[in-house]
Amino acid sequence: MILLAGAVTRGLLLGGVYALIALGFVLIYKSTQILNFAQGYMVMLGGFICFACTNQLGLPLPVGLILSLAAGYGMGLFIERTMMRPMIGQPILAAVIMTLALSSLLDAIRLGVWGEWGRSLGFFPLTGREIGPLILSDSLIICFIVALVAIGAFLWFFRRSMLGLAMRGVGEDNQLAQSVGVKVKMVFSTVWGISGVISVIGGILLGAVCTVGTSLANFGMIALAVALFGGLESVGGCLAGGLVVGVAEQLASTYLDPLVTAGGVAEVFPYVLMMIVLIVRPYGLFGLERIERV
Amino acid sequence: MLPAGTFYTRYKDDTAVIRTRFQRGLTIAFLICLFVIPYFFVSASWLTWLSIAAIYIIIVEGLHILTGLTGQISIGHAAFMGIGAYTSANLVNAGVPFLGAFVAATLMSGVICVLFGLPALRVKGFYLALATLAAQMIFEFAAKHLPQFTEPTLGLKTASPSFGGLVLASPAQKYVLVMAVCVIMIIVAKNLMRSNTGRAFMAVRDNDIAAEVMGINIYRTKLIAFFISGIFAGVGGALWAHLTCNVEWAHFTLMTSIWFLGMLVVGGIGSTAGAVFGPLFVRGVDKGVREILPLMQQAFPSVAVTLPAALTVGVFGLVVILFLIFEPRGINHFWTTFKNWYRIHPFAY
Repeated sequence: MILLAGAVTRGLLLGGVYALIALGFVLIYKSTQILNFAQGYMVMLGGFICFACTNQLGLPLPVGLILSLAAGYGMGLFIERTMMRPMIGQPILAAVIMTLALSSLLDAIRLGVWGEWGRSLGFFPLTGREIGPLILSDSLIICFIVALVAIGAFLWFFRRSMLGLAMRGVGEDNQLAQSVGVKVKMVFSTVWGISGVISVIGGILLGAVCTVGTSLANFGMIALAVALFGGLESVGGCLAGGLVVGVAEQLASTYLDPLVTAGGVAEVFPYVLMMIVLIVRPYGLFGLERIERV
Repeated sequence: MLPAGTFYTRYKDDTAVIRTRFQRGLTIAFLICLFVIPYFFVSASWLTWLSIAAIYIIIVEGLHILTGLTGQISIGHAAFMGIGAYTSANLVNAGVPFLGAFVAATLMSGVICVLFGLPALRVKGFYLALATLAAQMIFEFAAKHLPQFTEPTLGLKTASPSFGGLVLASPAQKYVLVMAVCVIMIIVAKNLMRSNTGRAFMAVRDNDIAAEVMGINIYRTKLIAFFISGIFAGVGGALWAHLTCNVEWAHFTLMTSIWFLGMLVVGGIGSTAGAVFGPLFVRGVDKGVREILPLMQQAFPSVAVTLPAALTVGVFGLVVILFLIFEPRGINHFWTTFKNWYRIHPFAY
């Protein structure tokens, strides 16, 4: 019973972080109709950027964190301006392959600058606390809270601010939005910038759970499954998807690991879930089912 | 490659692949050179390089059928290749003759590919790409966690290809086998494009609803595309297993799948010739990078350990990105331009 409760709570806490990363993904898909397969590697690089800003540059923690968020925004802008903007008007296939090529480029940057080994961010507390019969690490709880706050902030931004409204308009129809005076290109670059910021936050939070390294890219890829589960068009669906995928992953890892050689079911279970969702309900929990007419 | 002044009077002539006597001679001469010259005059390391390039050509041809012709993105081709490799290696190790294992492995890849193409019944486009991504991840997990089939730590050892008593052990002999299969697969891919099925693929790619209205069964067509593509990947994988004689999961990762897609883009999406140029060019650039690596390592000693991996991956990503931005039609477009120029050669237009 404690096993079950522990898995569920851990899953929920981790799910919050997944939801945040999936949000960056859904933002880009909603506004630009591009599935950003590089999100996982952006998260990984985000973690390393934070490591560089806080540990390598030797800045005070708050300054380092703000600098790394700014660097994330810059990364998003740079990617949009140099790589994604030439893809406007090209077939979607080209844009998707562009994100894949981008992920190999990001991986190369990581290898070239920081090398093969993972790093530890080092500013998250290593303590744990007892809640009832469970022992949860403080950093995981902090992660969950930060992720929820960030999701709330982005949701508010998306629903209430003028720029958020413009983003939703662009997501509905690029040309229509342009014709009523929305600067579509500016919206695209903002969306990529925000996604870059989310990647950095995700990288930092995941860096607290495990070390900053290649595994972050795998976690980032799980966000794909999360986004799909919640529905690719649904911002709110991210949260539900994240929590469900997180819990399912932890449950699988608790109960299925002993059945498999060397364990590690957690890293594959989201994809099994993704496959089931694709076959049973491909538009996710809250996604829009497209109806096409000739 | 047609000189000016060649005209056709029959429909059959106009649809032929090899159209003039000169072309036929050239093709035969090229094929002879392709097999004879490397066999006698090329060093073993280059022979292996050529063989691997040929295997990649086979797989990218398969990807071209799925992505270029049918318009379904696959991010899991390394997995389908790996399934072919592991199946073939395991069967050969269990005592099945090479040819039987080869056929079984290709069929296995085809069937698994169809299995992950099944969401095509419900969805299209991106969603299907997600299914192939799932295939890739599940394959990697299986390859690492089924030690009795895959030997994840040391790599699964297997035998060289053999036909009855004839064992092809040297790189030159393997090269001949791989290149022969590669030529056959290219011909298959080229002819598939000109067939009824190939035209159905293109119709589904260009407008699936219109294709359905015209009487094409979309689901069947997509699943056939997945099956054929899987067969190509299986052929490549099985050849890979017996070329290297050591199957490691590290060769079939998500990055490898991305490389295949990149090769397709660099060559030019949607043409058989492009699927040949792409792997050759990308592998060539890769070889070039590896040649200058020692120099770079001397120049940047601080990152010498990780530089090889970083540089090969980075240059590949950069090449694909530059091609996508500046020439999305790929190398094949240069080739087409050249052919058009030659067609009207003495004249300007």
